[in-house]
Amino acid sequence: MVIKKKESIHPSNGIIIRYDGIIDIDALYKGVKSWFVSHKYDYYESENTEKNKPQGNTLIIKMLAQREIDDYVRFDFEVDFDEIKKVKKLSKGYSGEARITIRCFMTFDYKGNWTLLPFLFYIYNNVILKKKILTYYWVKAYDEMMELNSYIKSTLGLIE
Amino acid sequence: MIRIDLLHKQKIKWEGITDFPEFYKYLKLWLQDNGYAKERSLEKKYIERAKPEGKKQVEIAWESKKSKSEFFDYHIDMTILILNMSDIEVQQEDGSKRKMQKGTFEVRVSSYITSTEKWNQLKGLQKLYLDFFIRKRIDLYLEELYKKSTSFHSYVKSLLGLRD
Repeated sequence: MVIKKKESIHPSNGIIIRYDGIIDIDALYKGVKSWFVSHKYDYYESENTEKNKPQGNTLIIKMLAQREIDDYVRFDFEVDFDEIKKVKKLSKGYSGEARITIRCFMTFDYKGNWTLLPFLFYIYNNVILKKKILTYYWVKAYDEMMELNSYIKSTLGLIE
Repeated sequence: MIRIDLLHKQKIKWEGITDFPEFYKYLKLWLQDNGYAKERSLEKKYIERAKPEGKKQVEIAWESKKSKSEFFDYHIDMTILILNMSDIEVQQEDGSKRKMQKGTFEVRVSSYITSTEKWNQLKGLQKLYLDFFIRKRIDLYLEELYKKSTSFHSYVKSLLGLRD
């Protein structure tokens, strides 16, 4: 296994959660944001779209979060509320169909200090730091990804 | 010249009804109140195109800047694209009617830090200065601009009635 500049922690298509039923979107949205803040991530939102339609609103929200673990490694999270469809307000929460995708990455040398030395960068990642990457950073990122996954599922009332 | 991007064309989109003149006014006031814009230097583009059936397409670009120090400036840029905009009358709770706009409103927000001319003239000492003295200060600047620009982003969402 060759460790590149950006390594995925998630399965190839990301962790996908599908749900059809009553969703408290406001709580879910705020909860995921707070989860990132409480875990010391810088939170960004690359897209926040809402379409008002007769059959119910459609939402697309793309969240990005980054945390600098140290001077060399950064964890990047992407959470996409791909298309929450047919969102209708009920007396308690909303009803709708949701597809949520979680992706997690490790980015190495995010400050670009090794850009001019690609061979040394390769050696550093794949020889000197490899053990720490696989036994420390990877595990840490994976744990956080699964913790977020559990959090979203519990908010939706799914089995964890 | 140094340029460090923070928010990169973050997209906010609302398809529905909103009071566009109010939206426009309050965004401008926010930038003015926070020292990013002056009345005459903000708007770089305002295009309004008439479309069939009385609808309009509007394209607006704003570039705002705040001087942080003699070496660095903060920037918050925004573009607004409105498709199929038409006026409609909405009945309010008290029975009165209010003119509002229906359409697809797309806003993109960017923020970044740039160095000033004075910094660019430093030449040989530039890198030395960056490495030894300025690096930590840039981190603080980035943190400050991050807070400011995400709060502007949240403000845009709140004006459109989106979740924040």
